[in-house]
Amino acid sequence: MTPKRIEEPSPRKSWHYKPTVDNLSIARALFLPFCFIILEKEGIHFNPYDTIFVYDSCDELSRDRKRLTRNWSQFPGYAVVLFYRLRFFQKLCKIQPAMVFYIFKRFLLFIPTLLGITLITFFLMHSLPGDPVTSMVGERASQETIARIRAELGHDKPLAYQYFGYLKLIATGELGRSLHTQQKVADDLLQKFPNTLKLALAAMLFASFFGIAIGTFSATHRGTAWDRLLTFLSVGGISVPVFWLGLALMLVFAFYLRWLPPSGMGNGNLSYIVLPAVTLGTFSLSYIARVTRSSMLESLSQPYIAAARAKGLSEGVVVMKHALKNSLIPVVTLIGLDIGSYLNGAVLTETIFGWDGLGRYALDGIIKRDYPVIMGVVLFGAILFVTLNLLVDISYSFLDPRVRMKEEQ
Amino acid sequence: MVNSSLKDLFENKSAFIAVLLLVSLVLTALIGPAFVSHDPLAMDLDNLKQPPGRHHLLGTDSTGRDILSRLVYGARISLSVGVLASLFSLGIGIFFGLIAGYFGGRVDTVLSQLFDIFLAFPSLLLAIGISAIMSPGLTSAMLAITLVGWAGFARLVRGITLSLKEQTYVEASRAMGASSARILYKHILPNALPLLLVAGSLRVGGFILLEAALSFLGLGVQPPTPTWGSMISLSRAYITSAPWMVIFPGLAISITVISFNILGDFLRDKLDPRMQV
Repeated sequence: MTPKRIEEPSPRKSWHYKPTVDNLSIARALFLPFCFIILEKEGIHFNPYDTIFVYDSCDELSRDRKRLTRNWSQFPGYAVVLFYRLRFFQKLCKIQPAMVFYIFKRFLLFIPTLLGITLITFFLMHSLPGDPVTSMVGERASQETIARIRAELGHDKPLAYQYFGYLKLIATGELGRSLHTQQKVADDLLQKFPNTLKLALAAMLFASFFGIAIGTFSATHRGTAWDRLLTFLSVGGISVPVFWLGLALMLVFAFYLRWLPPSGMGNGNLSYIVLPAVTLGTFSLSYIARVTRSSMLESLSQPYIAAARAKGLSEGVVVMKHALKNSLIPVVTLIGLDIGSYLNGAVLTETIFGWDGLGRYALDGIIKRDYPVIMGVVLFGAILFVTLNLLVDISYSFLDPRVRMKEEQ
Repeated sequence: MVNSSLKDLFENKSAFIAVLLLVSLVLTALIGPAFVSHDPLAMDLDNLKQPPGRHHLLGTDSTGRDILSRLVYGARISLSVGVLASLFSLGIGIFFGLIAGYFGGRVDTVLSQLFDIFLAFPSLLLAIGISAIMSPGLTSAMLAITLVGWAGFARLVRGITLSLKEQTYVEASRAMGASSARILYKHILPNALPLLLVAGSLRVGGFILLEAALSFLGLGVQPPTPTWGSMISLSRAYITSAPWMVIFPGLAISITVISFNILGDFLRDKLDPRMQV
């Protein structure tokens, strides 16, 4: 840990580092050891080498930042200590400044989206057929009573005022009560949600595994009858209505073959989840298979595949290790961003298989015209969807910096 | 270009079959009702749940109505909802997308945020929310699907406009003093249209599925008018005793949507190979 080593970076990194000897750098060289001593005292140990060059990626943006920060680091003083501490923390968590900005920006954009969603559900609630006050007090109530109750509920206030009241209610987790059971909608939603989650996870697992397997198979057997059949089936999987597929599967596997139970939850018995999960996952499976196939075909045409083959690797290793790994990025993105299709499908799948989740709850609401229930599910689903999308986006920006760069362009 | 597309269409077997199916489907919807022998609404209590046979080609349902003629009448609703909702949402999407893409700046920020909000809803849930507040019927289903679909088109149009407005011919016409409206209408729209039609045809299948799902949930066109989705929903209870009541409407939906999807894929590969999935 001598200051001299700092002045001579390793050859690997020297291509963007030009040591200059001036007063500032001498001052830095004298000062830096003290910085490290301070940091060392605080229990942070590190190789000073690494802290100076945190970035290994070579995109334009971070190169610019690198230049900027190198000048920064030439300023002696406590700022340097702070700066290195920040750098060290970033290194620890593998966070780059650009990523912090990106996450911050995503969170900022998240707020208007949430407001917009609540605004839409508010207007939907507001334009419901029938007057809630009349249905509360009955047709024969006097005009004064109606006016009084309306004032009590705040229905005579301007729309903007009512919207803020609605926002306040939502923020406290109050989504109203079901018109029929008088249960709190929020409580019901939280109670049903784990079931939907279980179903969706099972479906996602099924879709991802078989989707990638089928996509890989048809890419490696390109042009054969198998490939054509599987490609056609994947178009079919996207085109078949979920509810009909569920009924058809139920007919075949539950009623004709009697392999699986037709409906219900079965107290956690695994055989009950198979048919709903297959039904819910088929749409996504077909998409994943399509994307895997095309992305795999692209990878297989790359020079490094030819190199791997020329090296004498077996076809299995070439496909599974070299091609598949590189063609999975778009597939993983797709799997993450496809959450909406599971929410859509859950409404239909749960209806058919009597799965006691959000979807069936929504359908009960629709049949009984139970508006707080319907709007509660719509709002919950939308908020869930955007939140998960946000999380997926952010985690991809960690996994694949290109996602972030695209966003910034 | 049109000529070569047609030639390719004849060479691409699956796309050709899809087009044939779609043409026959449209013909069925238009003139089919004149050829079916049974009234789709007439109940026949002597022939309840008849399996497919000579008299009723695809069997009868739980109240003795002929399934084939119900399917033929249902095709009208499915196709018209799918195509019309596609056109409407394309129209709205073009309007807002052109404005957002061409004027940019704050207008673009606000409009893009609006698109994102509509796209933030899972499509079926939003459609349920919209159609639940209206009395269910053809209008409510169409409106719900349009409101669900327009934002996707708008975002696409915005992207295309952004790239088209940098073209030199746009600059030239601006230099000659053309108004924004004229540039949008005369230069940008015609150049964007082919791509948009492809996008529209790609979405028709999805819209038909959405309409079927809404009908299945009881939020679409109401019985006794036959629609494919509601036929499945009504016959669910008889799935063990009369499976044909469920199977044929589902096949009709599947074949239609598969044809639209294959055609859409074909057009996309033809017009813009970059968009390939």
